[in-house]
Amino acid sequence: MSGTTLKTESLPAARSAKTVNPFWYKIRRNPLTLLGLFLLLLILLLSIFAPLISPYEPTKINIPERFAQPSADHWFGTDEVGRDIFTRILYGARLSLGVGVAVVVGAGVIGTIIGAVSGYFGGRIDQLIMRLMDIILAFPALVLAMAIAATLGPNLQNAMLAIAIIKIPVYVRLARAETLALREKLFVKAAVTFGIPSWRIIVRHIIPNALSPVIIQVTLDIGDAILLVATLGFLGLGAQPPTPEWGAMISIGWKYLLDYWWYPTFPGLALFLASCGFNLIGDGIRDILDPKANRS
Amino acid sequence: MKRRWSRSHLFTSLLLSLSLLAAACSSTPANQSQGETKPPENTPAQNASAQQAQSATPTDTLFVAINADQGTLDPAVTFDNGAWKITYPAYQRLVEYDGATTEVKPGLAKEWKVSDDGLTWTFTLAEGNKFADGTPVTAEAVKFTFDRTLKIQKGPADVYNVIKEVKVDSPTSVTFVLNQNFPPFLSTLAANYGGIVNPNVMKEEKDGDLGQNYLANNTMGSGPYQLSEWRKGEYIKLTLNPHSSVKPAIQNVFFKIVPDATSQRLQLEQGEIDIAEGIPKEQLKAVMAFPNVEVLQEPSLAVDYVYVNSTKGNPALQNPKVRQALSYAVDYDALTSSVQEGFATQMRGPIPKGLWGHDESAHQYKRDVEKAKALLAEAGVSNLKLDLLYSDNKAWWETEALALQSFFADVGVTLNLKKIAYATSREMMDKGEFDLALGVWSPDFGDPYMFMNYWFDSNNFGLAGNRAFYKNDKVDELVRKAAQINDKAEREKLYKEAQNIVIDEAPYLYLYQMDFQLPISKQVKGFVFNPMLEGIYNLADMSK
Amino acid sequence: MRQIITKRLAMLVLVLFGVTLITFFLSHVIPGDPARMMVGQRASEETLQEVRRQLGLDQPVWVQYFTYMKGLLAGDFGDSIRTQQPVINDLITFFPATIELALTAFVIAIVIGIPIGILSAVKKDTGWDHAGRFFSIAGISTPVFWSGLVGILLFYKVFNLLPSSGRIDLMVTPPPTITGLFLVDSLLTGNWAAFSNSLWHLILPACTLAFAQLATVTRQVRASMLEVLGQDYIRTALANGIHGPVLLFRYALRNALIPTITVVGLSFGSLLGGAVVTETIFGWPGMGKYVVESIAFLDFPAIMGFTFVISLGYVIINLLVDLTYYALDPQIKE
Repeated sequence: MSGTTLKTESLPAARSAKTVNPFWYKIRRNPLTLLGLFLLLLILLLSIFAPLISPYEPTKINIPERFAQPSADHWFGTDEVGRDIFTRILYGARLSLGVGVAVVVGAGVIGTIIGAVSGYFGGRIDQLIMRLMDIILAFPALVLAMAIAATLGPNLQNAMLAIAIIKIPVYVRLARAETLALREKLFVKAAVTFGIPSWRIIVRHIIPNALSPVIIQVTLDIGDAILLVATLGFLGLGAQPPTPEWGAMISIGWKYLLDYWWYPTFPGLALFLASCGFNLIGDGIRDILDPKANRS
Repeated sequence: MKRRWSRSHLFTSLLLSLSLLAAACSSTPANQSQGETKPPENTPAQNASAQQAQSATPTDTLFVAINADQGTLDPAVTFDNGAWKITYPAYQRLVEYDGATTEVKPGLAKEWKVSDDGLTWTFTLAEGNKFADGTPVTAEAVKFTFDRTLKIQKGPADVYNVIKEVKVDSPTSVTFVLNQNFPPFLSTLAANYGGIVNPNVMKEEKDGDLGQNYLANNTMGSGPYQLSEWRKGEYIKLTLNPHSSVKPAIQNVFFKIVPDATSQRLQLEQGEIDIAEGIPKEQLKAVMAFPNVEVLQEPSLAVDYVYVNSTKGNPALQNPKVRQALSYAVDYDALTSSVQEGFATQMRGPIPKGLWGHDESAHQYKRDVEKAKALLAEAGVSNLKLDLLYSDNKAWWETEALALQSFFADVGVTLNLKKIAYATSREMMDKGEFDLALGVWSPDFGDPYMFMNYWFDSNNFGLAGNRAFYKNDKVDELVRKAAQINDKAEREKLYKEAQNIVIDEAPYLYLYQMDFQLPISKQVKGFVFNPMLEGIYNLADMSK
Repeated sequence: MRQIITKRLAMLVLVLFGVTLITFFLSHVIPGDPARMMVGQRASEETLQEVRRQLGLDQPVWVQYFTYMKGLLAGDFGDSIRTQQPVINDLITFFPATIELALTAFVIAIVIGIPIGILSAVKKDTGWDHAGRFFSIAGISTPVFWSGLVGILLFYKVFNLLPSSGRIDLMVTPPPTITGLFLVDSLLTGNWAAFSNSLWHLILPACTLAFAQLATVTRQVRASMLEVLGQDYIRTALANGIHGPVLLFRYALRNALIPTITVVGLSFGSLLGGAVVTETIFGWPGMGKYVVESIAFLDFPAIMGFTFVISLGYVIINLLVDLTYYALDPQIKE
């Protein structure tokens, strides 16, 4: 499901030396990254100012107005109980973006800590942790998420937890790989000789230096996480009604596609744009932070 | 860490051939994308031929789109209506439902009589019925079938546990001895699990399973059809039973598995299928406009209602006044129009219209916000917060839950929607872990017993039927008495008395009984809807 | 070498054991009762208990797990509760359809993805690069259920070019089962009608699935190509006047493809996962659809069998990659 990560198991040595160009200059040179930034800012602003933009409430039912076509009153039409779809998409953006970011950042933080600890100490603990990660990775991601969400009960928190769990192993592996390399570095060895406690070395030296690939992976994963939340919502295992979640909206709306095209179309478009925004930015950031991409 | 480098270098020789192959594929990037779009361009020819084949879909073959593949087809095991559409035409029963009515007519049995105490039923079999392998249907086969069902002890056995013994009097006469008087017994024999099974199934027995494994995937009945091919996940095909005395016009039936409703609708429109079962109500108006399709519409006995947990849920619900208030809060007309597109009738008490015992003079709740508020105030309840449990089992429940939420909000009751997986929801309903829950119910046999005894007898707490966990001694007494006598008029009177109590005490919100609707190609003739056999086709009488 | 293999095999067994443990635990914690799904809504408590007993569900969970594992070691996945068939038979029935779909999608993703990746790398930061990357990013940004539906609308309803569901027309006889892959079997038996018909059914679902996987390929190809193009030997070649296609294909691509194929090979597992949704939309009779139906029915043995087989496939691919590695370079130590 997620973008592959082998790429980032790279030689960290070259990185710091090669980011000569200012970050911002790089971004501006790449129109796709700009497009991604623009999309995200747009969605972010719209969702923040949702109450100012739309006069409707996202969950207020208005049965006489059901299935109204897109019009000046209802830009994106209304749904099967007469709620304004545009309003629901705006409020849904808060949810989808918030959830996507929270899940991936959470998984990233936890995974990095586990990976750094595992790589730094090595030995039995390392073996145990890595085998556990192997087990999680060996599951088909969507099926594992479905199983977790179904077990814990279908609601948004559990969907988030499920996605976080399937995302963690990637970060553990990334951070561990970086840590293994860093452990051999002079400044880390020096720190060890000075008798600095392990946790301090991990927090002060290992993690900050292992962060770049993690950040790249986080930006790439957010788009995927938003899609996964929506897919779980689509399968009825995510946010519960009347919460305006995009996946759940599409799930109900696609039954009406042939007669009321606007119902599933606009939430689908919003989902696409948000996910696309994160993926474009992720790709751009990777280009900038990844040393090998800078050679030519 | 170093993996990647070593990998790239060392893999070279190993993967050389592969990479060259891939390189060859990609050597001309510009042409490549063309190459990829080619296949669709090639298809019109095939497509045209397929289209031809469609417009000429053989008149002896029926195509029915169903939503999901079926589980076991063993009549002694399956309790799933989905499987019955396959098994019902493949088996015959002692008695059969008569046309569109809930009354029975002779089937394998040409006549029968019952003793005065209702404990012994004797059936005389008609001659000339044969199983698909040519063996005649005898009294032995009847005994075998019911003994087998009772030995297997799965769902259907529950219905027949009332049977004490089945005796063979002669090859054409069989007697059932019951443990107790059970007036609906005859009606249960016309249901799917009354299908008579060929005793030769024992030749297929494995590990003492009484042929369960075999019958899960095959049919061995005397009906006009038999299962001839089952490509899992794709289709189930029925062909004729060569030994049946019935000679139907439809020789082959394909039950094609199309999970997506949109696909079903499109295929119906294109004439690729004759019947589409999985098109949701909201789309039927559009389907009616198809020139080649009509939407059949018949009143059904399937009802949609809300269980109000009268003992185990929110304590406020133990007060009948609160339950009445909820009943008055619902806008029934708005509900049926938004949820069922108007193709439904508000219930009047538990027994649906069309089944005997229905009381046209019974009290019917109407929306009355003031009265609801007054009842809540009388009960001393304010700020009531309730959970509504439902699953994705029925597509319309989502809308229904939202509508109820807004109705209840108007009388000051907060409804919290809890949508959970179907299997989980059933478990929670059985244990009574809910305040309110959405449900549907349709009768297995044509007797008010199906509603009154299942829904209200306090012995049936949980999924078994009394899903409101409602207990009233007077009601218990009335419905139990009604189940033990054979005089129909007397029973009707007892049920009527019980109905008045359970309508007043409102352990359920009696919402609506649904219309049966089926999008069917105009070419198909002869389909008769029987409310007892929803989802089952009278294939042998149909033609195209 | 033998030691390493033994060690890796032990790990594999350990991982699979963990997978069964987690699946078993998860599926048995779900508050639902397959016995109840089976007996129907109105069954009495006695009937329910009897069915539970028959299914072994009255035993403590750990006993059930032990029984299950004992069967599994003997190659017995148990009987599906829903279909009443041995799970292994069901899996054998549905596996080829999924593999056929996933393999085709895989090939499409590679065949389209590699050229786009190369183009992006060679024409870095030009309109070609942006267009190519946008196309592939659009792929991973579109929910599969969405692109599938749009595909059906366009190619079935509007243009009426491609079928909307199934693997082969009902009226076309499928080829006899040799590998279970309709394309291969019909080729082997020279059955052209079945071949073209099943190919025709395969296009839409396979393209939908491939679209979602495209970015994995293009990203990797582009990155590897950029890396290789920056290597000294390429610069040397450039300096020596080797240009254009020769340089690209003989020198650069070959080296760039190796990491690509590894990465993409490992992503085959996620392709199988993505097949779950695709199969449901296109009515494709594969394992994904089977497991979705099984989850709804709480069919524990079927869910476990599915997860086990998919995990086994994933673990084996991983192991093969690693073992080849060790075989080729004895210097590598864990």
